[in-house]
Amino acid sequence: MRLRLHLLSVAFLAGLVQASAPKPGGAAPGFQLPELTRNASTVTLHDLRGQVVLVDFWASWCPPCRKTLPRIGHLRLLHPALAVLAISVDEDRRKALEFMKVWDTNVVFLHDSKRSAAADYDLGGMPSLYLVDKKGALRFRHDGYTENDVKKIEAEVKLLMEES
Amino acid sequence: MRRTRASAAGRATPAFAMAALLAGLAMACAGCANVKPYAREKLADPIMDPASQASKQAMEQKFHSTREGAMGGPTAVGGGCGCSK
Repeated sequence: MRLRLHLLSVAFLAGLVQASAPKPGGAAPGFQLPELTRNASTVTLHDLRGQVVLVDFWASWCPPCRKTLPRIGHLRLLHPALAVLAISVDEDRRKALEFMKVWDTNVVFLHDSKRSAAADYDLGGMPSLYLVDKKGALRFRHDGYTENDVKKIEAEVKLLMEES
Repeated sequence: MRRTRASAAGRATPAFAMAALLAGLAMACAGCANVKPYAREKLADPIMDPASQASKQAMEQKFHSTREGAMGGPTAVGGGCGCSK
């Protein structure tokens, strides 16, 4: 009886333990996603090896995402070599297209309709931003967004761009 | 006879406790769902906000209580005259 109770408790606790989010320093989870504007064309994170990549997960239903996208566009202007992937997690592609119309097109918009990449990165908030270095390692993550994050992200991008 | 009943009740207790524990665990597991931030599209819909239609609800309630005043509306009972008070 006691043994059974112990086994049950262990099984219950094991169920509560969730897959941990990718931590800075480890390899960035790879993905292959279609472009939002051209559904036939896909982008793979692995293909961008050798470039600093900023990955931004956003959605049309997320009000703070309206603030991050112009900031990211500005970062791209400051660092033309920076690859920026803005990944929409909208179910409905039309909503995402409607939302992105107003933003700068110097950013690559992708669509993660099945939210597989979002699950791999285990987003802690919306929007979530990730910085991947030239070697493909996840270096910085920002779950959620505040205005204070802007300078931090700018400094992090600068640091990664200067690395060989 | 008494002893037999008592021992039978004693045996039934662990089984009942086990069933209750399992039912509790099942409810605990199924009752709460942690919705991931990227999967909150439907929860973020303005229609999910109880306050989104507050003014419309207040108007409907006012209309209803005025109309049903004579019969006892949902709030203060009036005279059914249709007056604004």
